[in-house]
Amino acid sequence: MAKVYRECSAQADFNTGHSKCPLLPGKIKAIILTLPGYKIPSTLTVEAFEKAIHADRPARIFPIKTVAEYASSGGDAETSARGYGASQLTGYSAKTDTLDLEEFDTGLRANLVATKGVGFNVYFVNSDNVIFGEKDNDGTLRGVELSGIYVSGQDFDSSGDTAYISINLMYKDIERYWKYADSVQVDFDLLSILEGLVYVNVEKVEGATNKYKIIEDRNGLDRTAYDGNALAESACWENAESVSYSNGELTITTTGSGTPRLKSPSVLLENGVTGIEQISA
Amino acid sequence: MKIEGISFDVEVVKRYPNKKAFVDKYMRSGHLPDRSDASRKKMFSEIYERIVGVEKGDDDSFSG
Repeated sequence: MAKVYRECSAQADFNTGHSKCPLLPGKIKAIILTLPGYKIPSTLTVEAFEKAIHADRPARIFPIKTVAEYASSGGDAETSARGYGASQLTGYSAKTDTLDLEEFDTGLRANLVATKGVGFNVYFVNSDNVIFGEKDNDGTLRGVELSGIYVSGQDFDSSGDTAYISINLMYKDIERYWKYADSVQVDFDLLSILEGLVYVNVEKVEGATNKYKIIEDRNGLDRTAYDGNALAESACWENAESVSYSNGELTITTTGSGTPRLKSPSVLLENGVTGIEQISA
Repeated sequence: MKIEGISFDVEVVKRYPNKKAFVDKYMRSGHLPDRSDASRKKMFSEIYERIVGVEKGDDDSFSG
């Protein structure tokens, strides 16, 4: 029902007490990006998070770890004074947080650069498996709205530092984030399962019949030995009537003249394969 | 169905006209690379029978 009067925000929705045991935010270890309008699972379990990480787009969540350093810029109060009047708060300046990652990875950087202009939502995860975001109307946690992200860092080792990637998060409305900031703690090791997906290609071994390898799209790493045993399941493949793994190679008998192709990450997960997605042809 | 480390799409295997066609194709498949041809032929024949059943595999005069 619509209000026919107004309330003073300092009177109706304001208190100054402390929690009996305040939650200290600690250090950020990971972030989770979601597309606008999508959230982390409402059921906070290992299975639900793994499913969300491997879900079909746009419901997929995109974890990034491990954060090694955090720096904040902006978010300062902006005031103005008219004439001889007192200063008045007009708002807060735009805020950008910078997160340095522990590991350099050109593939991850390329993926992030390609998202220029995408207004993700972001969740933060600290070392105690607390997830930070905003309190949504239904009481669940929603991501903090970003106007976009960009990357920076150092491309090569220097005399004083190794190559590194920084992810910069540009908040859409920092005042709103602070106003609705909320968190939830999970009772399992969330950080250990927050692994995003890597694009791979399925490449035929030259000069061999029906032999294939799984190659990372960037930098050409041969992942077959990592994933081969799990991928030796016909349910993981399109256009494959039989699959086996031996000595670092997958043997795939195709159906008709089709080319073997990995099924979607959600199907791979059902068959015990995690962390990869075949890049579109 | 997984037999001897090879995962088969059962429905596709059932579409082979007979055991000979299946074994002939699988002798060229590259599966079970560490075994002799005789051992592979025997294994593929057994695999077909396990998936499809012996009643469809009555033609046992396959080459390969």
